[in-house]
Amino acid sequence: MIVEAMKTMNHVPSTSEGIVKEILVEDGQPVEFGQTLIILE
Amino acid sequence: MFKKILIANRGEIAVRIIRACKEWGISTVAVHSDVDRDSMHVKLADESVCIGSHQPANSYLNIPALLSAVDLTNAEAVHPGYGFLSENANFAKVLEENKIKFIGASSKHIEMMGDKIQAKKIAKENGLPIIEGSEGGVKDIKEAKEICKEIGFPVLIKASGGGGGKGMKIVNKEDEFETLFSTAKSEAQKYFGNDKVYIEKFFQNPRHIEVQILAGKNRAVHLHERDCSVQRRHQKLIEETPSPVLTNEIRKDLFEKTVNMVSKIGYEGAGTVEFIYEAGKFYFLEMNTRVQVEHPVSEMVTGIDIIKEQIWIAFSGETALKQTDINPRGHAIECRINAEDPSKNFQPSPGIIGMCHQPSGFRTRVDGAIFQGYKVTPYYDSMVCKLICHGRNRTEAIQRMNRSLDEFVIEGINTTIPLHKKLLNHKKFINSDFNVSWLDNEKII
Repeated sequence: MIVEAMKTMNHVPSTSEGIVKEILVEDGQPVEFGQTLIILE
Repeated sequence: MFKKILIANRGEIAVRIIRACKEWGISTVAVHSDVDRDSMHVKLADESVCIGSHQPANSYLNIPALLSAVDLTNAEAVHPGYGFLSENANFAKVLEENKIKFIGASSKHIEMMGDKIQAKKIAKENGLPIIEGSEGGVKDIKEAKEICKEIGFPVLIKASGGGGGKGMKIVNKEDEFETLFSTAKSEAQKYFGNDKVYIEKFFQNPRHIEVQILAGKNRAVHLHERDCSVQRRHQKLIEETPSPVLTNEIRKDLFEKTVNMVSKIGYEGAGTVEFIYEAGKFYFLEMNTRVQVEHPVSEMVTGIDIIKEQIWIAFSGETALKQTDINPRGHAIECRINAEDPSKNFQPSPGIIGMCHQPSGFRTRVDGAIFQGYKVTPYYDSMVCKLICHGRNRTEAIQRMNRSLDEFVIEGINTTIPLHKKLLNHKKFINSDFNVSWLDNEKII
């Protein structure tokens, strides 16, 4: 997943192994600090 | 003189341009996106027009909206600042066709220098030394490999339409070449809509040196050099003038060749010719056909207001300056203050600014657009202001910069201030013993 902020593309690596259960954001949607983006199982 | 100028930009550079206009009694029009309505440039301008939503494509890059704002306010000229539409030949052309003065280079010159392969060719034809490599875009992998054999590894693959450090790949060994070549091509296509790439010899320990020029129909002059070798990920962080590494002999040669090239192509306006400097030799890199972020260091040592000169050249077609008017004194340094966390790999740090105290005092200058309560949004560049200090010599400039950084308080967001404090006191900075990859290779903070 890539989060764009201030013209920089920031790669967000997964914090653990698992299967993606749910993606809670849409492409291009603004996000905030601490917001849940993906649920892993 | 122009009666009214529209500033097609935001942030500190919009404020900088408004200040120059005000001193000359020129009315100013600020344009802004919806999220920028409470910005400093909007507050300082005489009039303001909202030109669209936060995405740059809908506002600061939105040519039809900008043209409407020009029409609505009867502005006679447009200053594009840097970034956004400042090097967009089409924007310059549309304004030229509508008899609105673009305060910058002509669309012809923007186009000429915008394509990096073509720019290199023009520089070579006009007597500037260039970096060894392909004589233009490379056709295929076979031709690319032949060039590499000729110049030797490491090589740099660059996108013809690129800039700002994007679309570049360093190849150290032959067996890495094929993969990186195709990655470079696909990235170039994705970012710049053009998969043309070229190959150059890669320099291991170069300094970045650039020459500021001002040119009109009558003549071209230079405002000496800037050394911008403290960079992270190919983006400048500290700039200074004069360069601590150039000898007067090299300097003379560099200035003569640069002014000669600029005169020969009939360039008009402010511009910067950038070079790589290694082992006593300089090589043309590119030309920026606009004002640059780091222009204040040249202003501090020469006493010349580059923005006002740009406006004057746009208005009269000529520069009032002669080379003998330009006699730099002392040393100037600029630190870029970015909303980033340098301890977390320069992670962007948007947020609301709490307590904000900006340094002042003898020969200290802050070019910025921040204030207490200002919201740094994630939509734009992370640079929020610049701190510039002038001294009788480099040592005094460093001392003054240290003193000014200590006075600087910006709460609520992380900034590059703590990093600058470390850098200014670092042995390598003090001895000027560094190159453009210093910060990428050494952990300072």
